[in-house]
Amino acid sequence: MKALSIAATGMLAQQQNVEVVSNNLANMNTTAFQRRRTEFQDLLYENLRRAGSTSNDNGNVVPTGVQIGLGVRLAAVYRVHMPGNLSATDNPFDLAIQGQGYFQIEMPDGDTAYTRDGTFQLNAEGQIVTHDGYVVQPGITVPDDALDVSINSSGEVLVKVQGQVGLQNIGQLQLASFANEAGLEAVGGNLYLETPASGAPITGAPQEDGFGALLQGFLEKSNVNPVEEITNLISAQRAYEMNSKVIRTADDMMSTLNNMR
Amino acid sequence: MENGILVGLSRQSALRRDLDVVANNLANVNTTGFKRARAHFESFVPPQPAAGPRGGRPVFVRDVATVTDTAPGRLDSTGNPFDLAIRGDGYFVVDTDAGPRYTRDGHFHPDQTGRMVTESGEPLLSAGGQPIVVPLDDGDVVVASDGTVSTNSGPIDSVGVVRFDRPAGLRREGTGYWSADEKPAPVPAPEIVAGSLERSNVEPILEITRMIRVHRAYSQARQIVDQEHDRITKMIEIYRA
Repeated sequence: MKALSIAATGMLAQQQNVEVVSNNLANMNTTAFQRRRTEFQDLLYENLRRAGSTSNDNGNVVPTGVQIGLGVRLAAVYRVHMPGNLSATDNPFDLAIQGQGYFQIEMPDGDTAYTRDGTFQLNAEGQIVTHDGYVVQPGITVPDDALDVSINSSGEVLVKVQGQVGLQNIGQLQLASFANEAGLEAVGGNLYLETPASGAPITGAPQEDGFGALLQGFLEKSNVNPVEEITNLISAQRAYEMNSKVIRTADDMMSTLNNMR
Repeated sequence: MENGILVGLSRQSALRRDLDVVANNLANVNTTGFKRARAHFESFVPPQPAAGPRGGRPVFVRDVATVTDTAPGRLDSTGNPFDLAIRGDGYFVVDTDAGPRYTRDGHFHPDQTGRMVTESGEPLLSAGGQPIVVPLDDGDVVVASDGTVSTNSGPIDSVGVVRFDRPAGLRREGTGYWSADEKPAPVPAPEIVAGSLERSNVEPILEITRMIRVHRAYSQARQIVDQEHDRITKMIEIYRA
């Protein structure tokens, strides 16, 4: 009885669906978190009577045939690249990207990671770093005697130094974008890594070549919509139940069979 | 003599197929672009033997087709600009190693070279039958409701949508794909909704009631077999006496 294993694939798929929804809800307040969406596809089909075969020697063609599907599989869990809301923090090193692009972060092993989470701070040397102390590329060092730091929409870091009239430009933050953002590998900590699927990073300054503008003192919130997640959760749970009903029915039918004389 | 048992048996094996189809529909209740299937049964009357007693002939059941219900599924907004849904008749064309495949699952994304591809990496074809390549540094890519793909510098291509005169001839290939022997015709004015995906058109209520009916019919078929068994036993006893 194939119905048993077909329903089992359905239950497994819905279980994975619930896992993705729960991860979205858990990250509802994670800065720059992009919600995940599950994508399902039907499995292979078994042709019991092939469409297009002839039903007799007069050449009459079977119009539809008998095809029995073998269930469902999880095809992808992909990130939805809708921008989240911006929230004001008034922290001079909190940056939000309005539009396309990722900040580039130098990892301890020398690789470059990418993130949209712009909660940055200064380390002991005055470099702009993430929460974990990883340097934001290109490494910009704010001098000790800076009174005030302002980062403009093009990513230029301007400092006010005691005794100088104008602001001093000490560097420009660079952003990266990818052909296939969905192909980036999430490694936790709001960081993504380049993969063969994402393509090589294209770097540039904010506000140029399609890159978004930077906004100082703001952070991008997660783009999780709790109402949508809860309705997804309900539909996943009900679909799970329905598939378990199929298993029970198939079981009952087999027991009918066993009780035949 | 054992016709009753055989008729009951044909009913039971048909019902098992029916349950398999229902199970597949329910398993795909959240599958993008999925179309529900129905098993279609037909009576089968074996030819009258030339010699032998005349009388009522047994009527067996056999499954002749699984019919696809091509009713549209509801559209679900995803906010992803490359998620496309077709309103009304039509299929997207995807180029695979095995030839063109047709799908209603409009979840595409650009690959590392900028081609718009499906989740399995096969390119979506334009109205001209070529893969659609989107430039990576020209602002947001927008798909208009008539299928025109444009960037900041204007239209670059248009998404191909085709239809079939005989959609019943489409074969399911899994992963949301269909194949066809018939050559499709382009839809002159397709209506595409970008940022949305078409959900499965499976109606859980219909499937569950179908499942209950299958379940009950299966028990009834068992009773036919049981009663036939009783009848034969009784007949043997009478002959013995």
